[in-house]
Amino acid sequence: MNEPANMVTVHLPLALREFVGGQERITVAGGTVRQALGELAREHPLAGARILGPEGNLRRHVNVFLGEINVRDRQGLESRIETGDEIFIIPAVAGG
Amino acid sequence: MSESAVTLLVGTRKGLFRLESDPVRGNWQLSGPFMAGNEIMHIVQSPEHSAHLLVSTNHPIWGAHIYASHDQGHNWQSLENTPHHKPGSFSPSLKAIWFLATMPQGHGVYAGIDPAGLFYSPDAGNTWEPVKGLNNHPTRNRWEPARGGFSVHSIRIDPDDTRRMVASVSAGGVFRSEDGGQSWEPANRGVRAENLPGEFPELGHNVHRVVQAPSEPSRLYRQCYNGLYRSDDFGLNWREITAGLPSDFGYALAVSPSCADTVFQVPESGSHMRAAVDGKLRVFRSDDGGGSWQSASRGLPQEHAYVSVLRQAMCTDSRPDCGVYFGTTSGHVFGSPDGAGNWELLASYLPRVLCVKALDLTQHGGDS
Repeated sequence: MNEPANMVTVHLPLALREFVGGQERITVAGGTVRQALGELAREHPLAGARILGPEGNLRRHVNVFLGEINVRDRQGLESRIETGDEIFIIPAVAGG
Repeated sequence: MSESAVTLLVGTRKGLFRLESDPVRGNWQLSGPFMAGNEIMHIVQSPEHSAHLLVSTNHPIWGAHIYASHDQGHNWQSLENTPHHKPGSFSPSLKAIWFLATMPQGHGVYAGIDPAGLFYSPDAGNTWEPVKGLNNHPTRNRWEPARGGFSVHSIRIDPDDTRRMVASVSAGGVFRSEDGGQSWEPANRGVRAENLPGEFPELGHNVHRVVQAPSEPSRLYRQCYNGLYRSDDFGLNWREITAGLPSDFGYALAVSPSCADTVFQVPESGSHMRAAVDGKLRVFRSDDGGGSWQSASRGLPQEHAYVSVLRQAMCTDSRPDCGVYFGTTSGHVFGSPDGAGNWELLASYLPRVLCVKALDLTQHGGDS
């Protein structure tokens, strides 16, 4: 049975908006953060390739917050999401 | 002699800049940064369309990517795919794309990456496939990272027989293929490596830079961690040509597009300092294939210049009088319209310069 496809909003930092037609946020479906980011990458591959590395994992200095909690402090990309959740893509200070 | 403007692309740690000259190369106009915030690792020009360019970029957060321009670098578009190892084979799959090399004709491109790997794109960078003959070479367990990274770079292709090529591993030495990359042999005969036992080890050399003479493609020059060398047989044999230079260490190397014996090098003090020898920013020129060297540094700072010129940060243009250009780690760009006879400061206070490329609008030479 397929995972439920919950609709979530992904907020993008300024540096990535040029790769999604200037949008500040986009809506994607998925049951987990990985699925949501995977759909984002399929629709906007240039943005996706900057969030996820070639291995399909989060880049080291990219933080993903589900609400106010960094997914690295939850179940990482396997963190479950519900309709209405908000995902924030935020570059780490350490990477700049 | 006819005059024409030159466009010099300057890749820095924080983006790409364009320097455009007037027809006599007396005044230069700076624009940029393009791809601001990205490290510009290398720049190449299509042999089919002079306005078509590819650059490899790196960003500390967003990773390594390739951008294309179809208008001589005024506008850039990121490509979707990157050359990278199959996940799980090497870790990470891709750290940086150090070097791009276009095939002499058509749309084929090679890429050298960190972790050491060679990849080929048949379609100008849109898709990539690994060159397994090098990436899985049986000597790979004898390669090791150099201080600057663990990369493949200085990919050179024989335009008379494109199955013949060399690629350089830092640190693993130069490798040579005669069958289009199916198989590779170490090509380090006659090259010292003081980090290894034996006078001339088979492989393991820390190669800094290999350039190819456009007018005589079998002529290669090679700056290593220990010494500068010349090959007349596309890398089968090398002989040292360091004598006459103030140091056997350096990175930047360029060759005249019209004369294989005319070569330019920037000597640096050894591996501990990695800066211009004695604080004098000097270019040395040889007109006899490295048999003798003369400082060709008029106009360059000759005291307290403790800067470095990185391996891809010096180039020639395709003009008959051989313009030479380089950028420094201090963000200064120098140019000479006359084969290093006289130097002028073209730009200053840019970010650290990683690479330069004089656009060749005639498609007949210049190195990168």
